[in-house]
Amino acid sequence: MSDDTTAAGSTQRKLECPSAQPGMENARPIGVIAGSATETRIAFFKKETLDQFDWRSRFADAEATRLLRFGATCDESRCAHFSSGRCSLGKRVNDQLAAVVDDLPPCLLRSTCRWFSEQGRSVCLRCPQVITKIPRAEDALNAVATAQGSQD
Amino acid sequence: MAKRVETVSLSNLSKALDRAVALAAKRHDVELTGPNIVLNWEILGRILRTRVTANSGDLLGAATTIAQSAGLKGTPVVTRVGRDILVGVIPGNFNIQF
Repeated sequence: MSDDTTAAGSTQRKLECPSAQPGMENARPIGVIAGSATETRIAFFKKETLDQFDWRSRFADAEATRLLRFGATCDESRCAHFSSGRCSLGKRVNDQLAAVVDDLPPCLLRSTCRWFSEQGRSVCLRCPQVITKIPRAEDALNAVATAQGSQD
Repeated sequence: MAKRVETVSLSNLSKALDRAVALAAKRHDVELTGPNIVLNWEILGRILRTRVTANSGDLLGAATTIAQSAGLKGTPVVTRVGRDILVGVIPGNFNIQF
């Protein structure tokens, strides 16, 4: 199932990808890469930050994922991670990575996030370590990021 | 183990982006140059108002500082229209013929 229903059950909404590319539909940055070179973490944007950040003028190409985490409408079957109507990447993040925060991050995407919708709050505790653009040397993250039978 | 979530407010966005650039340079062995933040015009207006207040009404000085800090190359121009302060930058390669 590609769509989800709201609590009221009357309207449908598209679920969104929390590890998206800036060129995808409805893309916007949800955080900036922080932490250290060996232990990267996402620092999440507050709403006012996103509202006032003119990110398209400098951070609209794919290389921007070296600096920012983007959310966007889920590409569903056009994405290598989409399998049996669910996101296999979100499942691997939830199953294979350790929690890195104690509380739910103040994420602007959560209400429509596919990972949260499918995996629940536990994936949110692991999400801040996910970096969309991973150097080859970071094998642990690359192992989680690589869909079976594909090279990301 | 530190497990607090970091957030980015508008006031520390520029610093957070600079730090991300430094991290990317280490992680990806790349170099990024130029200003790393572009705020929309509303924010520039707020910065201008703050600078003008701080500089006792030196509009051109404030406009020059803003243009430089935003990485805008050219000649800063400024005027006041009633309560509003209008700032622009004439690009260095601007060439118009009538």
